[in-house]
Amino acid sequence: MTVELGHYCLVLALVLSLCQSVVPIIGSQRNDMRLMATADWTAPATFLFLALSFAALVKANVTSDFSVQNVWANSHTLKPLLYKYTGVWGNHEGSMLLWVLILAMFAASVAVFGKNLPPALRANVLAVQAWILASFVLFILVTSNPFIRLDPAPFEGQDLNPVLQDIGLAIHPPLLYLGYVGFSITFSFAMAAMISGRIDAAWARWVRPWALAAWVFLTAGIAMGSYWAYYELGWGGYWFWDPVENASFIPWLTGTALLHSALVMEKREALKVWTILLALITFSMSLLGTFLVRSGVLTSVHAFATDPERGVFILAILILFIGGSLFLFAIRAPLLRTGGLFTPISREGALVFNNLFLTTAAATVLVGTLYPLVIEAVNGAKISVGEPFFNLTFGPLMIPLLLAVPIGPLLSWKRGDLMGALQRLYFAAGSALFVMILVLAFTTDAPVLAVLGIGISVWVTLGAFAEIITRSGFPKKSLPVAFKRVAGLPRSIWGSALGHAGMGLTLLGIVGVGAFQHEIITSVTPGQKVDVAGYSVQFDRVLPRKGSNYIEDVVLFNVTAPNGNTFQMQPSKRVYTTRRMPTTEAAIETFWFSQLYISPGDVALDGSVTVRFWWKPLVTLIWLGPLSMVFGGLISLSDRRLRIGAPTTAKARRKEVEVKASA
Amino acid sequence: MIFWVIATLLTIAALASVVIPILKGSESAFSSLDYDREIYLARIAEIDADVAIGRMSEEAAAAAKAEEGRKLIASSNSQQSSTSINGGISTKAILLLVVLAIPATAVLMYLDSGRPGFQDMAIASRPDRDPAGQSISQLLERAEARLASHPDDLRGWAVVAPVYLRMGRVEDAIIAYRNASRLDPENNQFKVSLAEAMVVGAQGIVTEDARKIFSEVAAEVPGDAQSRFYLAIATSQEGNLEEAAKAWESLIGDSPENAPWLPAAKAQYAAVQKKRGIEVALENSDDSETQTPGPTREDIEAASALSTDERQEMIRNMVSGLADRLKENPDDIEGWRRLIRSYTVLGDTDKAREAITNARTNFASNTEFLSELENIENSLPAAGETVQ
Repeated sequence: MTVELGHYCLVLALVLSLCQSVVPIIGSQRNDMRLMATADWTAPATFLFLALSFAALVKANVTSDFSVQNVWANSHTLKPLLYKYTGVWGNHEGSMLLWVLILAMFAASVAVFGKNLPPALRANVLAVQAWILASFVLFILVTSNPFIRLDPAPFEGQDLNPVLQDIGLAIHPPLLYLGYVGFSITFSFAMAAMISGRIDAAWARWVRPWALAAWVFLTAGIAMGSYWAYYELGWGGYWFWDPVENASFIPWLTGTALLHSALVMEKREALKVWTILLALITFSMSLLGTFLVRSGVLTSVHAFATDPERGVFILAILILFIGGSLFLFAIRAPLLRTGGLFTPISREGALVFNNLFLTTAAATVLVGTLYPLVIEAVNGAKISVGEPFFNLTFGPLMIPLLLAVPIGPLLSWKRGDLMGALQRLYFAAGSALFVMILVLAFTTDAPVLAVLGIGISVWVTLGAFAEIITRSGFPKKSLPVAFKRVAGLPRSIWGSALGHAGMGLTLLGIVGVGAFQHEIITSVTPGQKVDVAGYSVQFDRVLPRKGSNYIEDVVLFNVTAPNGNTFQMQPSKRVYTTRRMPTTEAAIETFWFSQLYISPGDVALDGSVTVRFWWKPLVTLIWLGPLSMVFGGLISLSDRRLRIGAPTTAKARRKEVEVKASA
Repeated sequence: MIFWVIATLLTIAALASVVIPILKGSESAFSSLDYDREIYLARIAEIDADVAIGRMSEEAAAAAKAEEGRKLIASSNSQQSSTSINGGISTKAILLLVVLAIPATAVLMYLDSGRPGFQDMAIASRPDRDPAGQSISQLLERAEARLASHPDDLRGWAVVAPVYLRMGRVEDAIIAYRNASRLDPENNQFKVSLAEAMVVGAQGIVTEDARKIFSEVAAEVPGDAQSRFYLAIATSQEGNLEEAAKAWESLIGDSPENAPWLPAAKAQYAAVQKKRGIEVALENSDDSETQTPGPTREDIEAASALSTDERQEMIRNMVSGLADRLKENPDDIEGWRRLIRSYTVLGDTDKAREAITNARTNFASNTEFLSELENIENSLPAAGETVQ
């Protein structure tokens, strides 16, 4: 019965969100508080119904209820319990349900935590959010219903794709969706502003925490996905410029641009048109990504044509929302008055520079992603646009941007002092040069670009803290005074410093692996030793082993580190019995920021194994960088200066004062 | 019924989320100017803080504050023009529409694809699993659980391996045999069975891997019929017909009259000879028509002629489990048939007779089944005699 109740809750969520799409807007147009207030109730209620529906699907998965088609197609009685939970969103139907659940969660949090928003704005935001939600719940019910039953019910399921049977599935999709879908809120804010016609600095102030929260989740989700691919796929790569990855990266680039331009709009009331457009584009890119991933066009344009129902539905949603929002934008944008003026060398100018490069980079990635699809649709040729294209286009765009990152925060608003800013960056520039000389001195064949890359990453990482150091007064002031000053700095300064430093760290990791990694592919026989960057790796033997739903050949290696420590590494080749699918489980050992990575091939007849060994210097920085960005984002979010109080009545204000006085 | 009760409650909850705020009403305590003032105050505090840490000069702060003031005035000007517009559809009409439309739409949409009476079918709560199937899988599960924690349990691997092969889980069987020969490298039977499982996995082709193992065993135990059988197949698969024919001839010549692999070997021999253009008469000549060069599954099973004590024990366990279930649920004709057949195959004639008697009492009115039982009983050897 819970399955059917879950189905019914999903329908109720659709009906409620349809109601929320219309009633609050009528309220805001007529200034009717009662109608506007319905959104504050229906948004959490919709979230609750979707949560119940999701819980019903989880229960069906965990108890292996094969009368549910979706469970039968993606689960198995022998599947480990964790994957019975995570498998809920490891398939199309379940992941769409998670998608709408998160969409509803953002709406509910605006209703609950958005008391500082003017009622009309809040009502409009929630109504627009309900348009998106209703479209996608309808999409689920019509084309991808996870509650379709099978009668008679089979006794065994078809198991989950083995690549997804990993702890990564527990974390990556929910995080990524929180980010992806989180930008729906900025879209709704932009639409609401255009509906009411009030687009000003206050709007930017209200929207910023929401954009920042979505950005934090998206950053974490992309980084997590990259690490997952790195260790699970066994190819030793961390980013493949795969269309699915690009689909999440494009919103990240435009979302990062939005974060910066909203700052200008809030402080100087400039870039209003541009910021609104970015808010629309960022979510449009999320929708485009959803369309690419969910419609099947990526596997083949023709796969899309053979089973068009889902794809056409999402395409319709895509056209409706992107087209509709841009249409409204075209009507409203010319009515906006220009805001504050500024010279090119100023904080505003630096942020415009940032936006120019980020959006150009986003456009580049978009072209690289869509080009193969267009070619295939036109003449049927299958081409793939990969690393060389992006290295030639995306890479050069990042260099000027990264060079400018430390300078921006040091410029003042309206009219900045470039020389003054550069003076405060002497130590960062000096350190960068020093490290570059060190690298040249201690390596023999370092490519010039790699040395430059390391220099830039040191410049960005250290330069990110220039403002904090300047504010501390060190070394002019004594250390205790400096510490006291640093502690008193607003958290947003720390947030941007950590965010920018994260960029530098990521770059250092990318350059380190790209230029200095060792790769050895060789066939080893038992007892044979291979030297990988000073680590002596000895192949011991192959041990067949059985997991609950797979069998594997574990390839045992005894490793001796340069410092004499010994340990064992156990990569394996697995075959998942139900789907008859092989996977490679790489073994990874971390030493500080570097990793030893072993990925086995098939075991040959004579007991030898072809193995790929990698020494990956500084590789973990690629993910520690985003971690620093996420941490910076969270610190900024916790800055109480970002919060604006809701208006209180004179009486309540008095009470507050009394409470404070008595405390 | 309970479903509809709960569904009704959920619908009422959904309705409440729309109706309550409309009925309760809330007066607009603040104009939107109040919200702008909050922002203004926050910005001023922020500018003061920036001045305090030296991030902004006094003059810049004064200019910024003036700008914030201008923004506040601008927004208050734009607010004055917005007054509440009434008219059009009344709030009451909206309320009525919502109260009618929400339940109606929800129920209609749900009934379009929902199955209100369909109960949950969690796997653990489903009684109608095939009893025999359950028995094997339960036994296997227990064995697998033990092997997962005791991977060096030779007996365990030896028991599960043939069961896997029978169930068609060839990869599992290969793993199990591999482990068995890892733990007991002297045992040629495990090696041969491993190679045999590989052949099954390769759809009857004697792979290079398997051939190596067979040759190894044949070198060690020259008379081993099983490995000779497969090596002969390998030779004919390689297209070396002359050699293959010789191999078959010598194997057939060395085999005792009642060897279980003999018919298969003869059929293979005939097939090889036919390819060379020589007709060979077979006892069952119809076989030679259908026989294809590769060995069939039956060939492999006949040739394996594997009957370890462990396997017997396992089968006995399964059979006694089936007998217990039939005591509780005696109406299962297919179960009785299987039980009697099992006892017959195991050579336990007395038990078979006992089962026939029990089945008779349970199906006294089913004449068709009674005559079937009669036939089975007649075909059994006389009491006391054991069957091999």
